[in-house]
Amino acid sequence: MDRLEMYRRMLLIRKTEERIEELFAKGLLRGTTHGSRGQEAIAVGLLSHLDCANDYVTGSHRSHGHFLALNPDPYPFFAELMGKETGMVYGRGGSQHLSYQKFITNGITGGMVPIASGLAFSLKAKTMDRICVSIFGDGAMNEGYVMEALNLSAVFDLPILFVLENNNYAMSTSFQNTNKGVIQKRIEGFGLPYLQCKATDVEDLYDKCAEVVSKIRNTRHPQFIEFITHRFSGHSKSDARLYMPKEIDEYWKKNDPLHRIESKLEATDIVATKISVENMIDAAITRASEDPYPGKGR
Amino acid sequence: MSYISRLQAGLREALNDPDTYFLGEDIQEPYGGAFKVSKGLSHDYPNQVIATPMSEQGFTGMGIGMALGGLKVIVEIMFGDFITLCADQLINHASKFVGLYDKHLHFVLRTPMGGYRGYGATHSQSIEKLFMGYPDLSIVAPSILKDPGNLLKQAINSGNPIVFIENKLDYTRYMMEETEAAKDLNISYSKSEFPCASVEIAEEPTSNYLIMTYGGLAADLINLQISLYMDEEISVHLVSPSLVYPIDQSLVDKALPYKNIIIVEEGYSGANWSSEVAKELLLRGYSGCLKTYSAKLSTIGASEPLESATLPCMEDIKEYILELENG
Repeated sequence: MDRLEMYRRMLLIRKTEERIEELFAKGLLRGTTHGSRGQEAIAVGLLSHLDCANDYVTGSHRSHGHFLALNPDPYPFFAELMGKETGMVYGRGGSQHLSYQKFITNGITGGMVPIASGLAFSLKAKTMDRICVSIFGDGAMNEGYVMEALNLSAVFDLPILFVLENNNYAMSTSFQNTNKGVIQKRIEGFGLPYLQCKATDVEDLYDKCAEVVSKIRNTRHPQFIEFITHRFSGHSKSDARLYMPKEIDEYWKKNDPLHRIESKLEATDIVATKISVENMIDAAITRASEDPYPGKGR
Repeated sequence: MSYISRLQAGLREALNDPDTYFLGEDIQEPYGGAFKVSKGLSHDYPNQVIATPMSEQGFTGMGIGMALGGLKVIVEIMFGDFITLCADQLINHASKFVGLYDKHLHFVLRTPMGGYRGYGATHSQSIEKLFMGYPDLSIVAPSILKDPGNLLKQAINSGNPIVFIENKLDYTRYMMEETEAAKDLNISYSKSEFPCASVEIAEEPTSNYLIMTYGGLAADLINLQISLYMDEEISVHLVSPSLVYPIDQSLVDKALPYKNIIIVEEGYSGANWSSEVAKELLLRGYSGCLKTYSAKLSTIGASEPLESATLPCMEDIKEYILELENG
């Protein structure tokens, strides 16, 4: 994937998240939502190597970016957020419960990690190169069944990639205050190979993920990646981020993955991409707004 | 054949499909499971019988994930008391994959419940009521009236997640149809995926009394039914559904004409199967005499007199019926 396409996909996620915040502010969306502005390099750099028609990908409550990286069409996504019957899960799911081909999310922190182990188990018996990728946040690292799933995947030697998006805050709770020791040792304690990667330079991240994904496809052994990242969004729509120290935000503004890649592109390409992405989102929102609501359900 | 042999036969038939997997703690040879349900299975199906670490939440979730990936999965939880650990994966994951995403899940979580064996507070309960009242999650319970192996096959083929409740005392019992006593009884079944059994005294097809129960207590209550007829000449009918939840409406249809209905279960009293059955009866206009028996709201003691004081007692039910009969 070329640099401009990576930028386009990251921008699609960033702009979609911004539009969601605007729509909520205007009262045009109901429920809640969990944004991922700042984390786009992971979605694009990692998931561009997956084909969700064949590979399983499990996400979490914060998975808008994962969907858009796997399927860069915001229409079925906006239709879902608006609760329309044309939404990707017919308006039943909303922001946290997404499903598209073999991509599936749920709203319970860490709950999809044991599920992902089972999906990987279902691939293990067959001769194939399909894999399962399970993405979760730092909050999930203290859920008991996530630890159980890591052990199970190591014991049964499953073709799975565990992906920790460590944005340093589980809702408002800082990672430092709630985790003793280091993640690397915890993971290696399960006998799983561990890789850490800062989610700033999407091209670097893309190359590293290419290697890891290809290794799992070929060797069928489990692996763990921790991405060090930051969310500019609140935990959810009602979060004013009072807990976030200014200097951390400032640091990440300087290391924003979107700005990093932008700095390597031609100004004309940037402008053209921005226009095309904004138009795509406008069209998706307009179309989804006109769609009908579902009937009374099953 | 005993109940456990039927169950074992059903498991074997399920495992004849190479896409079926059986997961649980200590289920492989030479141990063969805490209640020996899986005896010999890992020898005959070495790739499909998977011994897990002691991680009930984790391997329940893994089993559900395997089913989501298209396999048929039976998970054994060693003692029913431990299913509290499986709640999140069953309620927030398995049932939601059906309700939200229209997935077909061939997933059965089977586990033994029940007391009367002196195992004490955390190995004697019947807590399946925890899983009543959720969309796209059913509870099925075999008994000596309904072949556990056949029911297990029905459950694994149904495409919806099912909690399958066995009873520890049933394992060594013979199936009702194979006992001498069955000759004096009329046993019939409703025509449904998970049939409801009706048991009547063959010589005396009418009755003022209906006992409703499921699972392991069916065996004790049929004995009570027989002794009430032999000793007191009182005809009592019994119904026992194999679908515990959602409530089988054919069970309610069957019960409505009776003057006296006694609902019996081994789980704790309150917010339980009995209350749900009573509610359905009352909503359908039942105006007869209704009584429920279940475990008292008290921790089950290990000592025999303490355990007996908590769990339902057949003598109490007998006395109640005799009181009604003698006015």
